[in-house]
Amino acid sequence: MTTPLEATLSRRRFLTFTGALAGAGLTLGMSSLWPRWAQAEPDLAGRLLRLGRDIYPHAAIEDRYYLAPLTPLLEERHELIVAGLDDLDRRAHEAHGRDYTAIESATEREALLRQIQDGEFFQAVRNTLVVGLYDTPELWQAHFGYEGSSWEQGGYVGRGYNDLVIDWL
Amino acid sequence: MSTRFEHDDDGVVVIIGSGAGGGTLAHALARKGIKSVVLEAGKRYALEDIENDEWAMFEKISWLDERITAGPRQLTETFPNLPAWIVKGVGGSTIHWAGVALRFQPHEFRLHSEVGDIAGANLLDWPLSYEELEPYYVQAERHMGVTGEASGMPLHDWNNNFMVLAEGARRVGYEKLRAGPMAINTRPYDDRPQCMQAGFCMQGCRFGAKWSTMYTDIPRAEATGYCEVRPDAMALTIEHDERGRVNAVVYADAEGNRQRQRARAVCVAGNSIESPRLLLNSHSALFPDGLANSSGQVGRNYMTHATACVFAEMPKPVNMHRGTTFAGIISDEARLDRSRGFVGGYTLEVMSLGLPFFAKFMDPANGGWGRDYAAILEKYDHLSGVWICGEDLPMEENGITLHDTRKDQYGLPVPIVYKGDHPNDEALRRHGQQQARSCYEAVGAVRVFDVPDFPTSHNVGTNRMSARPEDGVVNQWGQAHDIDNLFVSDGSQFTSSGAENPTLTIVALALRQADHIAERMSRGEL
Repeated sequence: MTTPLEATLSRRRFLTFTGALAGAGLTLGMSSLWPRWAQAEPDLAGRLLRLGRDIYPHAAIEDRYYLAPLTPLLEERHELIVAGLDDLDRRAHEAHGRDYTAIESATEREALLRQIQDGEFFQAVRNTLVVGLYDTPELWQAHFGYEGSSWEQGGYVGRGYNDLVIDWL
Repeated sequence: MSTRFEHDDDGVVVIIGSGAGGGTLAHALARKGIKSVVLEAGKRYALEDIENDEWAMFEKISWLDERITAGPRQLTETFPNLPAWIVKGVGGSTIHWAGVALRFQPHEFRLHSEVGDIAGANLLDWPLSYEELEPYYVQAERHMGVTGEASGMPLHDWNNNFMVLAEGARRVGYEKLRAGPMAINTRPYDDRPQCMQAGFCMQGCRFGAKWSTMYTDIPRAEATGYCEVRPDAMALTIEHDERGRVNAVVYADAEGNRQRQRARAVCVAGNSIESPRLLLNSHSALFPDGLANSSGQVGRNYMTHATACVFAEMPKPVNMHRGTTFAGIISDEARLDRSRGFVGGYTLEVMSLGLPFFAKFMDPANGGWGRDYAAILEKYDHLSGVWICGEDLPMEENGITLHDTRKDQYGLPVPIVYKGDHPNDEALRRHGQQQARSCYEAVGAVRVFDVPDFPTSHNVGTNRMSARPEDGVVNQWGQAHDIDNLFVSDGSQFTSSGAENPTLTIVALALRQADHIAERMSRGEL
């Protein structure tokens, strides 16, 4: 079940996203930060982006952080990716009569992905993203509260490793 | 570092591996004036090479040569080529270990006598009692700088992660809660600085506050002039003379050239996959089943600890990544108490992972993704985690074998690492998961979830000690039953796994073995 607020947010996100897909993508500004392959193939990038955002959905993280880690995959396994996305669209048409990216419900998209999650294509994307997305230092502090390397600051002595007050009980 | 021994010098002890077993042994022998050559398969690293970066260090120091994970366990699916998470480098897995330095309990050396036969398990008592090993535990604790009585260093302050778990543990009635013992300095000790609570213990300690042979035993052994360490030297086979005594080790050097180092004695300390693999690969006309294998036990009885992780999301930030990685220990369940439905015990050890590793390891199976998954990761700073370190029963079918056709970069058969659970392991794990869950629920967790075990860093048992030659590979000194100048000096000589992290016991055994080797040399027996 999605709450009305979530539905609104995801709808807004969805509109932004499909707007980008509808040919206006390169004028939105953000896409100049996309990796070169994504700028060269914006349609492919858009489809992969929808997939990546459904695998590890973080609404506040910008598109380029999903696309950048996928670069080696596009370089080394381009055919697998194209074929996988086409297969996903075929399944989307069978189930919902439209492309995968045109399915509005995140729940319905996730259900489709659960059907293919054991396949080579899906796992290639997931395994690349799970390492690449979460190994992006610019995202750590703001989105996850992880601080990364600490030895340069002398570790956490006097910096909050033993200051917890359990006041919620 | 300047000492060089000739390849045809047959007066040296050749030690294979430079970690907790091999590094400790080389240093202890050097202090007695006994010459050794240490063959280390990996590179030599400096403290400046150590980064607070999980994936970078994983790629830099892990043993990533081809291995095959096998057996009815999730790792076979999720990490088909990475059964073990150990190090290839000078210092071995003491670079990666988290510093937990618990002694085995007295009854754990005689588990078979305590519980009798158990169907499906290959239980055996150690040919060594706690009382015999105790003086070496004290020596090891002083040597490594283990917080507590032996070193005089106080235990660490509790970090936030342990405060959360310990509060829950107190509320469910646990009493044995300690932030140690750890081989991590709480004040300057042994010419090494105190811990800065940086986290990243398992990526190597940038400050050198955690004991590792990388920057203690190895350089100190070299400084005596009695030890030469050869990095990038992968042992291929151990050779023997016509009487069956070992006399040389053939290895591949950094350029891939074969070298042959003559030896007075050979000590194998390559961790529980490589050590039996080397003995099996050293088969000959005299020893067709591999060296020291008249019992057929080389490579068998592979144990990893019965483990699992439980993580919890707390109502407020915990910042588990701050401070030592394994910061506290609960020992109430370490006892032997069959009323729980299993033999052996377990320790609960509070643990943390950084975000990059946690994202990967929270659920490495194909289904580890989606909105719930991402939602937990967005609460990363609210998480607390605990690792279960439980007795893993030896089973003869669990072990290391050699692949028929696949070869690694050295031309050696790829090892197959087979491991399944005994029903006792499963019962212990379930109990541990439930108790950990209860602790977190008692301290108000928002949600609690199981995390599967990782590629294991605790690998023991594949060249086990036994009183009788037909039951195991080595005697109570780690000396092969079959070959009197061949020794096993790492965790593969463990007869059982205990409920404790293995490193302290490996070091104690290595110190004891050094005394034994020196004594036999002085009697002219080696």
